[in-house]
Amino acid sequence: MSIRQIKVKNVVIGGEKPVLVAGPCAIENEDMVLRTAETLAQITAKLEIPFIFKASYDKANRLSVRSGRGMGFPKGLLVLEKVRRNFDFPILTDVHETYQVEAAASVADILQIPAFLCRQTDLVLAAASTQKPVNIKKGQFLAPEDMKFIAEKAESVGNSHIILTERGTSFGYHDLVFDPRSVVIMKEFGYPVLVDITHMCQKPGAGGGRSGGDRRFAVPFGKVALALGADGIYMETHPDPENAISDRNIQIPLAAVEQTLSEIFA
Amino acid sequence: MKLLGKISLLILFATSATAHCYDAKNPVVLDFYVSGILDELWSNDYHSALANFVVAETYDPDDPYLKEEIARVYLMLGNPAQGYVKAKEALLLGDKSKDLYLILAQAAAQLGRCSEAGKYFSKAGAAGLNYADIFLTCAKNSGEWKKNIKIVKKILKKYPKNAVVNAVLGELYRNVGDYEKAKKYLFRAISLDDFLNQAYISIINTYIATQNYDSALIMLDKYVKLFPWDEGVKQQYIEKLAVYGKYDRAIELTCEFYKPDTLTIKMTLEKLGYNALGANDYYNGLKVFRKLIEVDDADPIGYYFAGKCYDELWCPESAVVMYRCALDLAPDCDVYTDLALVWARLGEIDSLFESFTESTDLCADSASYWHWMGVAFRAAKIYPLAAHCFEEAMQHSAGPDAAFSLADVRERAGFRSDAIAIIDSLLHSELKDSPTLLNYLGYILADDSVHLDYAESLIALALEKEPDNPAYLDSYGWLLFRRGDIKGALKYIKKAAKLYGDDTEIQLHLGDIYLKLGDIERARHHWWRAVQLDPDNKIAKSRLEQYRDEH
Repeated sequence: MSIRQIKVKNVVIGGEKPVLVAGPCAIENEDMVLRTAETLAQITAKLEIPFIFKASYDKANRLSVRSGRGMGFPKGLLVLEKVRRNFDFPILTDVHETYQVEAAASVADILQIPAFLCRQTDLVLAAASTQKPVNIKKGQFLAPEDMKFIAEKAESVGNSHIILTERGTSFGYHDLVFDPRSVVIMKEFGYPVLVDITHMCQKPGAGGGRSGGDRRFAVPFGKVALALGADGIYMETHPDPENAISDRNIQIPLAAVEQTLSEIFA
Repeated sequence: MKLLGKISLLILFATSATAHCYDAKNPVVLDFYVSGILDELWSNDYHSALANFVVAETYDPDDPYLKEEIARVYLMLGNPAQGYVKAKEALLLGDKSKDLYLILAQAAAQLGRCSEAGKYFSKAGAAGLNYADIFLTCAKNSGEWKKNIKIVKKILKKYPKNAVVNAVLGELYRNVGDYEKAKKYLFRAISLDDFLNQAYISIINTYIATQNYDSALIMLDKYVKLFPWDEGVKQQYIEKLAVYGKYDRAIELTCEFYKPDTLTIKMTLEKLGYNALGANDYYNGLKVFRKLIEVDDADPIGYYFAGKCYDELWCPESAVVMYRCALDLAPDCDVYTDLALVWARLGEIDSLFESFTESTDLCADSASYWHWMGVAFRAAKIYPLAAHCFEEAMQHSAGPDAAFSLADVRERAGFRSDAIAIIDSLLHSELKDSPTLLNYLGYILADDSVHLDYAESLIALALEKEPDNPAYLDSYGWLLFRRGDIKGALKYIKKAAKLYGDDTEIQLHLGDIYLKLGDIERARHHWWRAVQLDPDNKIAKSRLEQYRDEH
């Protein structure tokens, strides 16, 4: 089956070249986001990788109420708006509430449905109704076959610009595994498939009220994903992961991004 | 007149001119004739046509066909009286043509002489049936709807299968409110001629008059498909859909009708959006402006008004995102002030300052900008900066709003004497009769329990001008309270609360009155409402605190 191509600004998802979706997990402050965006733009231009910037304005699904959520709505979204003004690359952000969808669509080029919320019909419909491309992350609890039904929800409002993302599957408690079959299965639906190589390194809740993880596996996961024909790699990066408000064990240090991408996209 | 008729007429006139008016001694007559006809038929320049015909008439004053043509041109120029005179002259000179009778019928109809119009119309015979709408004209001009119904019914008896006559009768019935009969004849008209556009429009209007909007829209839909070139009706259709709240369909059709003409799509959407805003329908307004963004995401208008809609729909966070997007496309002072107002409401002081500093250079000459920035800072309770903005606004505009607002913030900041001085100076200007100012100063004096007689005269004057203004009623009640007339105070302030109960001051005053009357429970209720309306209200909070333990 041929894969539907999705063109967003100057990037084609599902085209000949695999794309990179990368950025910080949360928008912690404006300076950090702009600095990360600039660095990633330079690296991807150098390595000639089609690049989409991602960042979340509100991490609404943290394990603990004490965990940081980022700048929130609307301030975090306004930071992304500033990124849009300063750079040409497309922007992806995730939405957690239906009432935020339209505002997010005014700033972002691609809306993302978080993995935990991938079965929330109203959220999927609201995001798809904007007619912007929608990246749906496969729930950790969901079989890859079932993603077909989620995609159908988005299609039901006339939006065929759908991207599916594998981000790991729950493996008992406090652990995720990468089941490579899901890439093959989801590609059969005809939509571009991305592989989130950092989140699948996560160990949910293993950090005692917060998630742990092991970023060592990001590179091998990335190589496997592209070997299986994934249409792109999704990863999170931070200038100082140890002090990040979220996913500090799995985000790739910004300084290591060039080396990481060189290995994966070699 | 239909084009085919015009061509025939040209031939007729070319012939008749030769037959009747060609004068070998005056060949110029024919020139004027032909020039007039060319002006009329090909250029639609009726003034030049009339001039040519009138010159020709001076050479040949007894030609009835020339007079008939002059009469026709007068009608075209909207001068039925002159047309009628010339047509009658032609009749006296022996012109018995059906065209002339039709001209006479039209002129009589436009002059409101319906019986006469009917007489000449009958003489025109079947050739004139397509012009049966003259009876509508006549009814409109004379107000004799029923009389015209009778005339047209007679014509219909003779020509029952004529679509135009059926349509005219239906329209006449519609105008007298007999919608069932109207529909009967109008539907018969389109069954006889399914291309009779006016009949469709009459049916649509009949449905609208009977509030059968769904049927009206179905008929409009049919009409637009049958007559796709009728741009005016397309626009009306879209507007009507909006009037009945069917914005989704209106948006869909706008894009369908005008694709790929982005400019027209944008203009139509903007119009739809403004209509929605005008009707306070922010939900549909938002739909329209979001579509506008989709059509052209480089146009700040869509973002700005989507922001306004979000603002009105109590989605301030989305509003700021939209305003920001609009500003990035085109910095605009109105957008900056709207953005500042939302930040103030959200309590985001840093962002409010950011908007202010970002816009000051651009908007420094705009009185409105300073005024609304003042309002934003006042809402954020940053009174010194609010006062600065209102002072700037006063420098750029002579209006009383900024001065009044300045007095207000000075008072809120605790500088009541400043406020009194500002209002007093305004009351010595041409604004001396402004009830707002009279009440404001009166209230401040009453609240301070000073110059109570003067205060009473000021508030009484304000109440004389607006007896049902809750603010003025509250002021008067409060003055009575200060004088010790508690029952009188209660009467006025209760009336104010009935008119506008969602006011912190009014609730506070009611609380204090009930306290004085010894009804602590009621007093607490009103202070509690005051706190609900303004969670930062220190007076209400302290009253509740003070009387909580004791009672």
